[in-house]
Amino acid sequence: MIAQVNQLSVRYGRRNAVDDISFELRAGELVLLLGPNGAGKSTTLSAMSGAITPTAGTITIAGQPVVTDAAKAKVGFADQPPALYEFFTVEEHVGFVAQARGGDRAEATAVLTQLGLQAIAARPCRELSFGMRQRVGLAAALVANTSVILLDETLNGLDPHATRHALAALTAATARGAAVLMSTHLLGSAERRCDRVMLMNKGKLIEDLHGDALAALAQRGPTALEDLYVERIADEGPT
Amino acid sequence: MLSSREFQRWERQAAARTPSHAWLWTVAVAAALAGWVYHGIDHGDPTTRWLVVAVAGFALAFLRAPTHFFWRSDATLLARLPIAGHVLFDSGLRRSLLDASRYALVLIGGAAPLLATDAHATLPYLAIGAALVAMAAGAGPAACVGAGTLVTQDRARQLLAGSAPATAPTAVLGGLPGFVAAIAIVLVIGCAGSLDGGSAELPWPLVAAALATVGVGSALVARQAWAVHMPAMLRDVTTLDRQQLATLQILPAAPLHRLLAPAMSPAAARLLDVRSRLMSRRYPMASVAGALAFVILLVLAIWPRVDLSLFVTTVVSSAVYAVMLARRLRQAPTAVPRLERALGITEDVQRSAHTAWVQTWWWLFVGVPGGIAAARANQPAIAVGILAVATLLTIMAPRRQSQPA
Repeated sequence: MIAQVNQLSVRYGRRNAVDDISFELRAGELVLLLGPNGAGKSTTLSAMSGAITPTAGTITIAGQPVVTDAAKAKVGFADQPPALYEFFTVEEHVGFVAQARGGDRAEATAVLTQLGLQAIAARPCRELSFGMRQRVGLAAALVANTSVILLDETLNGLDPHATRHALAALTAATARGAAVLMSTHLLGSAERRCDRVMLMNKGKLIEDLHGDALAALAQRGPTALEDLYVERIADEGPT
Repeated sequence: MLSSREFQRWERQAAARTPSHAWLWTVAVAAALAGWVYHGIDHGDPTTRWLVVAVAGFALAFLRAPTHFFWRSDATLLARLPIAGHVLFDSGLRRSLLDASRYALVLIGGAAPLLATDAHATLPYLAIGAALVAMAAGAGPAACVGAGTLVTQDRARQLLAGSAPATAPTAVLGGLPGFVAAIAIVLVIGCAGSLDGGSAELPWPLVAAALATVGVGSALVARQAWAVHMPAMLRDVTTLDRQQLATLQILPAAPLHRLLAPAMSPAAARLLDVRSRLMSRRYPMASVAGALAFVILLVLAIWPRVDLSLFVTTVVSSAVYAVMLARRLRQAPTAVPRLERALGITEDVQRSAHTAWVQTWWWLFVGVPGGIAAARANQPAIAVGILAVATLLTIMAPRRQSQPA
């Protein structure tokens, strides 16, 4: 197991944003995390990235608690919208993150090329569009060979070319043994390439499909995952 | 991993590109203070004027420290990166030292007329000023990191006890630095009488030595003992921000802000509500400073025909403070501005909400009592003119473009 989440709960005041969930991420997996707005996806990802302290439960990355420097160096996170140093250029921002993770600043150039971002490498982050910011956030999550990549709706707002670049980069990351956990509302390209789908609602993990179960679902047709989502999650509006 | 030197090289690179006129403002404030002190020589109270500004400047410099340590705009990003505690502490300390050096420049510039008149008699004031600079540079960071350590340890204790940490005592994050600053101010006031050779509760050499020692010593102790907790502080404060902003379980929005809401667009009213809560929690000094200005102006309104200098000082310094608050509104030190951009909250909506907040503060604490005091001043036309210009300044302040968070 490359990441283990055990009985994780995060409470905001009286509300349980995440309510006692447990799961593991295996090396080389690309996992989709689905659920309605307010289901607890972003909070789960934030807690896994070490940015917020859980109310209860434990999170380990390669056997180390997520709050340790050894674990943090292995985790890449792109939040929604990504936190960027606005007055840095794209290359500087990604280079800073690489260096902070113990990597080489030059790794930034390689990741930006992989994502098709070399043309904007010298542009200040503050001048970027929403989609460009998402892509720079993804680059920062991938740089320094992170082994657990957490993406909070990072594919939203990307054009088809950018989506292809992003998915190719994520596939390459899983090929080198990284695990990718990605929340999204956009099924389609990501759905076709994922190895596992987890469904969250009201802070609970209500479905975890992989292997044969996921293959069987895929055989039911192109809208099978969307149908499952609609079937399992009532349309109650934001929670 | 990043060393302190490498991290600060990145920070300097970012700072060099961030538009800032801090040093220009510092020189302008120093020149204004020098002018005011020089004017005070004819009125017999130049050292009092210098000391009042020294104490007010100390409070501002000292209470900026939390924004250099745990209420940084990049706290969420830094909390996720494997950066050592002492590196984060050194970064905050460097920012506090920069603030303290600007404060020192104001004090030295402001003291120029005193030095020119009687250098020997000015030395005790400069010694107290130096001690306050040392406190702002060293004890401010120490109080912040101490408060942050208390919060992280409290959370750890709660987690160990299996209880919910939702009610973690965030008040201590601003409260402890405020308390330390208040003690320093009380000590300076206590020794003020001895600065010009008179009698006082406390002798100034003792106070200056004590403050300087505490300032330097506490920074060293904090780096040694508490800097290691910096990553946990950033994470826990980020968590608490999310908890409190997500549920809005913080101080309620001021009734005046709620009254204004129906007159605004729904988006601006919502933003005003969030900002009102944020400012109440993050900048309680805004209410304290406002109340002080209110009391002074009220006294001037009740006791008219006095010299205009106190009125001008109060109104101008309140206007400068309001401009600073407007800047704080534009740089809310949380992930909120980024979320707002994602939610499509426009610059116009932001300006509208920020203007409403600043104008509420201004009219409540300064505009109304200032108007009465101006009408009853010995030179009402000048007083009203100054109040009008100051009001215009506070109206314009929130109209500048927001800084990225």
